[in-house]
Amino acid sequence: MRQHDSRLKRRTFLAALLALPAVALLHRIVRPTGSADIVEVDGWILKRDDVEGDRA
Amino acid sequence: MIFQDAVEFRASSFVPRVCIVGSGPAGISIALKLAAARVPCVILEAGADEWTEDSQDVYRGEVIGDHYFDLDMTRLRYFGGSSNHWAGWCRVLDRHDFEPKAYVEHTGWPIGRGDIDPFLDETREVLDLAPFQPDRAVSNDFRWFEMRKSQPVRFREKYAAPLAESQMIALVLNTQVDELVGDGTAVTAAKIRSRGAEAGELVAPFFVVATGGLENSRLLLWSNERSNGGVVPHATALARYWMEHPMFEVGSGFVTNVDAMGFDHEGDAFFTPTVEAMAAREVLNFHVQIESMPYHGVRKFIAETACLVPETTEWVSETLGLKLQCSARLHMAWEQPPREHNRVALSTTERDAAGIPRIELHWRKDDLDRRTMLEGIRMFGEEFARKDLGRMRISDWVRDGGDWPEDMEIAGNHHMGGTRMGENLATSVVDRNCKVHGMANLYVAGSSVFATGGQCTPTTTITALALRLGNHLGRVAGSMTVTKV
Repeated sequence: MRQHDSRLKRRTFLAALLALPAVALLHRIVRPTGSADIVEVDGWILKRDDVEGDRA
Repeated sequence: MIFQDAVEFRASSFVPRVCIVGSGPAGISIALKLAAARVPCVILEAGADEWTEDSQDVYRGEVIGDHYFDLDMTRLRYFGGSSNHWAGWCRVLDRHDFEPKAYVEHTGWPIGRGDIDPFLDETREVLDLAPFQPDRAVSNDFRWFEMRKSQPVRFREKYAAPLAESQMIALVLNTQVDELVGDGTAVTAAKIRSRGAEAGELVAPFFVVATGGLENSRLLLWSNERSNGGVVPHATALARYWMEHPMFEVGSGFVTNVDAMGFDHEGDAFFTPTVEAMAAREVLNFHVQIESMPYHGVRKFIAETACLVPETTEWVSETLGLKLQCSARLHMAWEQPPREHNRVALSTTERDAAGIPRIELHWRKDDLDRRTMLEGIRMFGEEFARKDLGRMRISDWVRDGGDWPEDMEIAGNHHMGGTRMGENLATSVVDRNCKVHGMANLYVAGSSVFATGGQCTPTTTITALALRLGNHLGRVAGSMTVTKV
């Protein structure tokens, strides 16, 4: 229950930040890597599953 | 025995077989081994038994190239040398650090890790270290390793009493070597200066230069110039191939598996690549330091990254939401390629109080530095994600090839190279025994003999190499008959 509460707080916090108009103008830069299971997005190094799980 | 100047020393009638120039970790470690072998030695220390402005001023110099520390701030000139501000982080060069890398010119030592292994127990005694924990593989490409954060040994504090009581070691404070005098086959004398005034010559059968990773080059350059090449007869590589460990904060990230991190008591974890992983991307050695941040740091980190890349941050945060345990800053330190043009030179315009040219340090990172940094952190980030240890983000300046930041760590205050060890007379200065090529009685100690720098802090390896040299000199000098000189 405590973990759930902290997640909500973080989402609330993020939501407030993302509501700022200036920060919504940035675009993601996707860079292929040498590995099929890894992608690089805006400098984030992620598993492809991270991307496809949320976005695909 | 400890003497306050050359006058006191001469009055003692002490006859050294070995003259060691410099009382830092290397110089004192050698003296301890010589004393154990019953070989009398003198250590000449230019500074006093405490920091003084006048002594430290000798270390001022100019840096040409990349941003670097002031040369009178990055080292210390008094009894104990730079151990007086050493942080105490310990690790020995890895076995593969001594091996050549086919894709980088001038790599490889003439000795292997096995040559210093016999001296590691003594090294730990000198540096007050418990045994190191073994490395642990976290993937095929990376190993967790222990960066030992020891209570740093201040050599002045630890060894003042033993040196004072020793009948085999004479430490002479306030006494510098202005120049060594050589005839192209041997050093015949050292011209010394004590308490600021010329103090004649000191003669000994053997000399060891142990004045630090910048000053060794300066002393030998100046001596060689004054002796018309009689001190370092094969001087092509002298003062060249100088190296540091560049250090920068290169990114940030989330840790989702804290238990697997092996954080130390300060919340840091260290990882280094396997030799195969380095070769696959043709990079040099490096380590990644994951610095964990407390909870308030997590919020700050989310805020900062959300401002910069809001969609990605939300996405990662959502994806990892249930597993998110802490955030981290990512630091990297790496091995530099040995480059001839990175060098110590004598200033043509600036001299110290004794009239000796000050240092001009020419130092520039190059494409391989940048490649090691970027490909190294990418390689680590991929393994970090693949093993579900967390996710990381590489800083924009690292990815974009931006200017090297001047407000980060910059480097480790690790002065390596300049009198590098090797077999090729054109690319090295000392041989496998740290003896200057072509000279019968001149040796060099300290990180200036490093052929390459590896990824770790140098003091542990410096000490091990010094004990090895002390052992060698103990045999060589101990077997000879010496009359008073």
